[in-house]
This record gives sequence, structure tokens and C-alpha cells, in this order.
Amino acid sequence: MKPKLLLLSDLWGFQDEAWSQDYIAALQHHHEVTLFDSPQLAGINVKGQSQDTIHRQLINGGIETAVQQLRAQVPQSIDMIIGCSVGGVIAWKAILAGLQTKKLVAISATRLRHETQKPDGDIVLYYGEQDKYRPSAEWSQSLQVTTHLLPGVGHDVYKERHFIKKLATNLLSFT
Amino acid sequence: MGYLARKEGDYFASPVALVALDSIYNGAISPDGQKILFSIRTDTTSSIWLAEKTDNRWSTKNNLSQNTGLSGGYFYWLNNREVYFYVPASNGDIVQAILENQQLTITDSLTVINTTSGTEFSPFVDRKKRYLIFSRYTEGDITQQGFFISYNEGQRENPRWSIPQKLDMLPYGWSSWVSEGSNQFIFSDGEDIYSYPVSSLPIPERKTATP
Repeated sequence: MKPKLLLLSDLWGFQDEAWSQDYIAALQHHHEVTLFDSPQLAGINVKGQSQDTIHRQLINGGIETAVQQLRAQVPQSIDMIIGCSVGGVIAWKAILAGLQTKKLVAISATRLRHETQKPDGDIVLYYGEQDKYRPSAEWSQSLQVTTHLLPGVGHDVYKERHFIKKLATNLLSFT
Repeated sequence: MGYLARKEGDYFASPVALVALDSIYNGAISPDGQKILFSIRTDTTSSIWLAEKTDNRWSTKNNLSQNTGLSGGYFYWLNNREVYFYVPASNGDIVQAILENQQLTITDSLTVINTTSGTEFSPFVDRKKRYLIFSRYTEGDITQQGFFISYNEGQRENPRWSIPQKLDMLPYGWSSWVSEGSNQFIFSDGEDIYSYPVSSLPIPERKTATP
């Protein structure tokens, strides 16, 4: 049986986003992949809304709603979660709230910089070097969390095919 | 923490931690082996530091950013005086500078190779200045992600850099280096170190700049 893997989207969700297909293509041979649309979990309709508006809704209760929804929809233990941007934050908080997983990979989850408690399990964080909102090195040290800084790249690195392929290869060594 | 591996014969020995250089983010040792330029990252900036070797140890480090306000990293020493490196301007650009009396002074902003939307960093310059290879990353544009090469169509002392071309045969990476002895192009993707024969790359000898 393949390991169960959840993929949580960024604030735009997966609609019209070709990059989710890149994750599926890269991961499905070795994992049972389930997609979770972060704004949908948060009860936010992103159609016709600006990034700022969606962001505001997420930080004003949307993330908490998404965490509850994820917990409710995933009662069983999961082998691995990949969270992209706010999806990484939702996954982090859901694990703290009791969601069972062996590993969390969060990419560009910049709002983790506000977190003061680390969930149990293996946690790996990726950030673009040019992403100005990423957590500081001091934050990573204080929470003792493995953080990889990706030279040259920005916030949207999780959408890039070369990164997705590399990540999928790395995950094989875990499974 | 930075690490240094010395070559012993044909092999590199186990890396040794460079404790004296503190929380070095990246750095480069001068061709004569006597200086190291390196950067230390804080939340908002990458300060530039210089340490010199005394009695086979790295001496007290000096903050070169303090007087100049310059920040950056990904240094490449063309010789013991001329340096190319990354600065954070315009999402990340490469500049040429001179290091004299513990002072780093930008001498060329390399406008032909730098873009406003992309991050240009991690330069390698051929010793005869025939070409310059660097990494570029423009978010969302795969045609502008990877290694690029620019040829010197001018003279060694007065370079005229061509519009950069992407080295399509290479994946995205950084820390490019051409080993003249073994004719290998070496780079990293952050996890592995790769080596390609120079003969497989478009580095035409006929592009040699006028001496």
C-alpha cells in the first residue's frame, strides 16, 4: 500500500492551477495523494477576489476554520503532508490540534514566523531566499526546525516544476 | 556554520568547521588563499565580511558593510583584487568591485546581464574574462531560470558583455565554477554537486577577447 500524502494548496486554491498536476504527476507513483484546497477549507470563495482580500479573510478566522475542517475531514493518521504557503500554516496548526502525521513539508509558509510552538513529528521547511516574509534564522533555531533556504528563488517556488521534481525525489528517501 | 574541505592528492578530506567565521552564509577564498570574503545573513540583510589568514588561521573578521552600506554575497574572486558578487538591488544583481585596503568599491554594475524582475547571483568569470556565467531566477518564467552565459565582446580590461544566453542543457543551480585543469563545469543545486564536461557547453574558444 502506498503511503498517504495530503497536499494543501496556497491561498488561491487549486482551481486553474496547473502546478497541482505537477505535484500529482511527481508523487502519485509512490504516494496516495489527496488534494485539499485551502480557501475551500476556510470557507472562502476566491473567485473575483484580490489576493489582499483573501489574505485578510484567512488571517481573520479563515485559517482556524480551515484547521477545524481539515481535522474533521482527516480523522485517520497520515504518512505525510505537503503544505504550500498558507497550506503549510494550516497543516502545522492542524497537527498541533491533533491531526496525526509522521512528516510535514511546508513550502513558503511564511506565517509560521508567528508560531511559537512546534508540532511533533518530522518537519521540514523550505523558503525562497528572496521571500521577504520568511521566518528568521533565529526563529528556526529557537523552534529547532529544519529549514532549507533556496538560493535565488522567491515565494512562488512551490509552483516550479524543477522544485516539485526535486521534492518528490527527496520524499522517496523518507517513504 | 561554514565548512572547509582540503584537497589531499586527488581527494577532498573530511570538511572541517570554520568556527572563526561565525554563522557564515556563503563565502569565497581568494586565489592566493590569504583572504576570505563572506556574508552573514540577518533578517533583513546580508552583511559582507573579510577575514585574512595569519599563522594559518583566519584572523579577526572585519565588517565591510559598516562603512560602505554595501550588502550581498555569492562572491567570486577573479584575482586577489577584483571581485564579482551579488547585491540585493533590483531583486538581486551582480556587480564587479575592487577590494583595496579592506574597502570594497563597486566598479561596474554590469547592466547588460542584470534584470529588474529576476535575481542574478553566483557569478563565475573566466580568468581571461572571455565569458561570465551566472545564475538567474525570474519567478514564474521558466525561460529565465537557470545558468546564463555572457561573452566578452570587448577587451579584457574593458569588457563589453553580450546579452546573456541561457545554458538550456543545465538544470537550475548556483555556485558555478569552471575547473581549468579538468575542463569541468561544476555547480550545485543545494543538495548535490554536479560536474559537466566543458566541451558539452557553448563556451566557444573563438569568443576570446582581445588581450
